[in-house]
Amino acid sequence: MAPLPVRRDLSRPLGLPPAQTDVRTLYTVLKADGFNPVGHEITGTTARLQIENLRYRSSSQAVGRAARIASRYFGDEITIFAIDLVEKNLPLTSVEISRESLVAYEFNLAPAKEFMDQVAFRDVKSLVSAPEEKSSFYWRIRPYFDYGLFDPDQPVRFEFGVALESEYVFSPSSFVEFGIHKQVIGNLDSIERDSDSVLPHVRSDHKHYHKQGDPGLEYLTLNYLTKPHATGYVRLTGGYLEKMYAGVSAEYLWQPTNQNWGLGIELNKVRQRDFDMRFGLRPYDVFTGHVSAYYDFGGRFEGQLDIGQYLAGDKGVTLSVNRVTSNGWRFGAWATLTDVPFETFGEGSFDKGLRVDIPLDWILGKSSPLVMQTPIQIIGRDGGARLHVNHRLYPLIQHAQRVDMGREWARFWR
Amino acid sequence: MIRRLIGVGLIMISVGCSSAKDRDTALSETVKAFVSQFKTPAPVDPRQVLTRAAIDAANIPLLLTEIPKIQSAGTLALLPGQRQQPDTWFGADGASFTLHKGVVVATRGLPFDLMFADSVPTIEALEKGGGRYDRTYKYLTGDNRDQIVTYQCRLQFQSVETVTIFEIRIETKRFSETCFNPDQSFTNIYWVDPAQVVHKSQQFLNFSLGYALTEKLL
Repeated sequence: MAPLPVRRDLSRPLGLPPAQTDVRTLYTVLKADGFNPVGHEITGTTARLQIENLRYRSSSQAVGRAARIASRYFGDEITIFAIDLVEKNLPLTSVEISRESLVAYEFNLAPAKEFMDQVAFRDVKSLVSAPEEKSSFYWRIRPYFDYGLFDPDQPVRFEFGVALESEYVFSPSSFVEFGIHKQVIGNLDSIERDSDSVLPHVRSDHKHYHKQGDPGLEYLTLNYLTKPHATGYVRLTGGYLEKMYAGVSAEYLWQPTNQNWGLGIELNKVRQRDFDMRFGLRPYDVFTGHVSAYYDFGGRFEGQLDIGQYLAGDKGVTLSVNRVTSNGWRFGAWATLTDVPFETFGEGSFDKGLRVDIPLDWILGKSSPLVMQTPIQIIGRDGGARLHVNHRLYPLIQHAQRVDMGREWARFWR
Repeated sequence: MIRRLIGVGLIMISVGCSSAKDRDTALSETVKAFVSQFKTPAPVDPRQVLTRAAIDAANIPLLLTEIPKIQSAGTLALLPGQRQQPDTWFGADGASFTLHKGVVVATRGLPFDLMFADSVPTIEALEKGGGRYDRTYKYLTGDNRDQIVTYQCRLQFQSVETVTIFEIRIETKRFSETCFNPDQSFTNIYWVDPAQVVHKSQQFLNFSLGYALTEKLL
């Protein structure tokens, strides 16, 4: 659907009374265009609009559309629009654009880079007002697909089933969520080969989870997300974190929006879950965690370096490099080297894999925020294995950072 | 077709769908949007359903646009409250055309939009009755980058013509605007009345969509 155009004609120069801010229409139009208006604030001649983008994969496009709507329904006295992108009630980035620039560049031959230079990206700490909904409940049923590669008995194994997922938000920062999987068809549960790993069986007992955990509780967690300061994010997660582990997970990320690199730390104390994927636990417990550095080269590449202790207690580093396109595709590879000798690790010598992110708007030719994230682990064994936990901070905020938005800034005007 | 096949596969194996922005019903909306691609509703030809009486009864500015290459046609209404050029017109299908004194400067909501085309040289030449000038068009490439293309253009008076737009006869001058660069060329046509109002036109959008035909209904 076409965006609303910028309101170009202020009333005063035309001898008419100045247009007033019309919040009701502003919020109605924002909702119709795929946004959840979280709040707004007028300070002098600046209007801050905080929105959650529910429709557009491209944050640049989302900001562009919201800014144009803002130009129409904030009063004539407003000369600066600060559009804050919000995710899970965390304000991620504020994009400040003058009304003058919107009018000048909407229909203009200037390249996107020139327009981006007219815009200020700022860090923002908090919401301007508490969300209207004090609590909310979401659920959905969706198909899921899982697979295993390079089993010597059956090189390709798969599982197709139905997932029930739900989320209950009971405060702006806190929510409980769970997911249950039920297999419909597949052969992941027919793996016969037992693990021969000499390391703690932190992943290689996966056949037992497939055999006994159907249906299985994939995760059941209490989550807390907050920003202690404008450039810092905190995540606390507790409960049944993933298919094989329960425990607590804490993460801090420092990422100013104008900086193309960030630093994070994640600490987890976890215990292995019973194979039936209900509520019981097995004796194995471990402390695992990493210090992470994220670097966006600004062009076509981004990288991540994690240093820490893995699930088997092994210590080492993971290097990930992604090739990024400016329409949402990512092609990546990662490799982990730990103090586990290659011969102890077993087949494959060390953990490694590939990643492909496919934007659904590319497939559909229509707006969709969804990106299919497809990690392809070459051979999953016990060395260099990492905990899976939902809502890791960097993937949550990356799309709203200046360098990431800059890749497709031209899409601002779509 | 290849995208559709990939789409079927991906929708079926919706493994790892990002939950970053899907708190709403993004997934089900996406599935619906995908399924809707396979439904091909019979296109409604506005020329078959519109009448002069209906146009007059609407009593708002209306613009008929057709894009023959994609068999798209619609009646667009002027977005209210615009007091300065360019003006933006919206269709029921969600597409918009922005025109500056009848010259198309941008489209939005089409499969491949014209982000901007400078209109001033054409408008000035129409006022003068002809001329030679450069025109520049801006597009968005598939990987979301600017593509800026400049053409050398020549506007020429062709003939005096009476055009009939839904029973209304209008005396116009027909102008052709031929534009080319080393790689591409196209020809726009404008039917303009003595007050410099463009009543009817054929204007190039891009090589995916071809030409848009416009008629000012009211």
